[in-house]
Amino acid sequence: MSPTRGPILGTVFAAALAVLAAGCADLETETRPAACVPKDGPLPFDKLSDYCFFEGQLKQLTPAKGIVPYDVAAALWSDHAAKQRLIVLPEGKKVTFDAGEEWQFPLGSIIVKTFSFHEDFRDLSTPRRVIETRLLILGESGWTGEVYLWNDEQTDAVRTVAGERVDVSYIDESGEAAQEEYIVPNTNQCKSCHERDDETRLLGPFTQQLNRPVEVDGAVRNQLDYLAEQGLFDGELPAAESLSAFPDPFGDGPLDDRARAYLHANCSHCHRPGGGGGTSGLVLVAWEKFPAKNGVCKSPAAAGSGTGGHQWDIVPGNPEESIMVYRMSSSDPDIKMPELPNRIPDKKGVALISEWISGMEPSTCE
Amino acid sequence: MENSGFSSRSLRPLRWLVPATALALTALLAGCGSETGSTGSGGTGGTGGTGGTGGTGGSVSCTVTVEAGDDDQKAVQTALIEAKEGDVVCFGAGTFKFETELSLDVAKVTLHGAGADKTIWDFAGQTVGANGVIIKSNGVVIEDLGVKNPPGDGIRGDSVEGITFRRLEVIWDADASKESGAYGLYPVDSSEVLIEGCTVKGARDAGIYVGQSTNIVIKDSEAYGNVAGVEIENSTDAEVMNNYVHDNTAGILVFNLPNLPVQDGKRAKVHDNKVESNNLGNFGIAGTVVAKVPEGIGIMILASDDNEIHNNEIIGNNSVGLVMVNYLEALFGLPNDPAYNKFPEGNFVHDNTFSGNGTDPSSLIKGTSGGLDPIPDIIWDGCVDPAAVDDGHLINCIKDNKAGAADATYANADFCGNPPVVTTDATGVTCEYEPLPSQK
Repeated sequence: MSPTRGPILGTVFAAALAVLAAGCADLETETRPAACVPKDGPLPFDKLSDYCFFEGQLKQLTPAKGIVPYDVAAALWSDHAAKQRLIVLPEGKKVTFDAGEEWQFPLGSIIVKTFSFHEDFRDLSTPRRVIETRLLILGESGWTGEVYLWNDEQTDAVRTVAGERVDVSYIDESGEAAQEEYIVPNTNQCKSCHERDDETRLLGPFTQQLNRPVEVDGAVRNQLDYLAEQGLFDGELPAAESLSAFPDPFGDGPLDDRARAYLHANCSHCHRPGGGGGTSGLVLVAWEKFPAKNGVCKSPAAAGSGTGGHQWDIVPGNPEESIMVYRMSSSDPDIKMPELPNRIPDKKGVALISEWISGMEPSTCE
Repeated sequence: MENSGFSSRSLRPLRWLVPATALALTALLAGCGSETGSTGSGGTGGTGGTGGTGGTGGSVSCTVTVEAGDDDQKAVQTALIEAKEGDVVCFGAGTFKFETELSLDVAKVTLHGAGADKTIWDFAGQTVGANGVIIKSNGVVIEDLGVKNPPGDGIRGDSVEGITFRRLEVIWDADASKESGAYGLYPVDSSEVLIEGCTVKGARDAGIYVGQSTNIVIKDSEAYGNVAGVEIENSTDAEVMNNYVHDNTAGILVFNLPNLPVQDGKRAKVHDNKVESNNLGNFGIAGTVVAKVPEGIGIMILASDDNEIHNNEIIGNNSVGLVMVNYLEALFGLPNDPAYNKFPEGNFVHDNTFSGNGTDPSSLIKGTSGGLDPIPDIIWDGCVDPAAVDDGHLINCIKDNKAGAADATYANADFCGNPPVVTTDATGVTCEYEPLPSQK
């Protein structure tokens, strides 16, 4: 694509549609379509359909044979988008398990995450509009992020580097009609969350996030056990109950655990040593429990922005005076947290963290 | 809504057929996302290829030139993503409008405008991202551009080795507004930082801010209308020279703060600057450290060691010309950080000239100076770490500072004494240290 003027997306788009007719996304076939054959040639491909991650109608997002869906206990808030997550491994290759965040994926692995909006989030059987699919591809030099923007016809998605803004409307869980300008990130912005110590990392697939129950064929199973049974790993796994796990932040586990799981999922990719927010000194990985590192009575020395007139990141017992809650509640780019890419405060997350701070032994920090 | 992938279908044995796996992976070596080979100069709709329009550099050879148009966000961000190491990406004269933070993550790229008053990057409409521009790759040069009205910081260099800011302007049009962004030029956690010939006006925190970095040069620049003109924070081996720092709340701050990953910043060499009339009312946002800094300060050292402040011209700062303080509990609260040393030690202040400072001090400076009128040119809070061991570089030395033909005045505020006994006798602190070397 040219770095100069021009309808960059439009040009590629037309090409994509032309190819589709002969492409692998066999649109309305009742019987099983001929197996999709991934495109030949170097990655990344121009179109999402080139990869053959899905079978049948592309917009149904039905994973193709051998492609593994997974779910996390604590999700990153993405302005209300629903997300589907997939692991794609090269044939015959497996993942080396770690009890923490350091799962080792084989060269050629791809993590696929698709973002969509249901017409009505109270009823997930209502039609959804798929907006974007993000890939992380593991090559010799590490993981590389790619972004595919879906077309209005929902027939395919085209690779974009510069990102996009898309107007979406939906009815939220509480039944309220909502509208927003959803941000599809540019490919540099992948790194603003995924990069740590100059290396691009996975943020979702690790033990605490995946050690949770999932429903498979009508039965509830432990996800790690199930993935192991399916042959995801190259070795035996420890018993799932011996491994640590994040609770559902909005479930009924202990409040402290739920709050830390939420902060880990939404903040710790930056707020940890080596992360984008490492220079702030605020550390929000779930297992860092030194109060000042978590922000308790810590002044926001380095950030300089968006205190809302408050003195401390967390004032125990007083969420209204805590910068953390103030910044999570903002949509001002200068103030809001996380910085990227979402724009809309996560009301449930704000309520959770407020409840967590309220429950701390009160102190004025003075 | 997070379970759309699972539904009720069962997983099958893992298999993903890639007919050209080897080929695909080979291509990956060269990095995904940059294989399109399209950075030829000009390109569709581009104007100009080499030289830029009216550039001040003269001999710049542009790899590609981007002109202002109707979708500057996509055009510029795409150019920044598709740039190759060593490229010179030029920007024509005109106003570019952005809605999202720009980011650069390719090493040794030069971003070159046609002049700070000609190529304007306008961020007034920005709604996404905390910086106007964020640079995350090593060895980047950004020069001859004007950045206007970003809602957050201006240009941030984040954890990079080598970054040059040259002949840039970062301007918030509003005067002394809390709505303006925090930092104009903002290298953090970086090394080999060069800021030269730049101008920053209107930051509601620090105009030129260098944090948690090493080997820094800030020279020939101007900072005015900010809360802090220049701030060196938790950084080591900075040289701040030949700058004009005026009409801020405080001129030049050399700070060491607690609860940051990089501690014990030291050895800032601050010399030959003109530090004048820094009397602007503090418009920092409560909760930030600079919001606590009294107005009318020329140069301030906070809890930082082994700095050399010399040959500066310090004029007309109403509270005090130069002040050295520990992390005062009354001002900043408890540091809440066991690793933190809150005392300024081993600083060397010499050969500066003072005139017309301390004539209308803020209440805080007045209250801690024992009723002296005017406030002496140089004040030390007099607090000494009871646990300190004299390694030959402990006391703060003051030597040969002038106010006209006379010696500059001095006071030890004895702030930690109970009750404080202010003294103006400089005998005990008249000493000298080996000068710090210049950077590079």
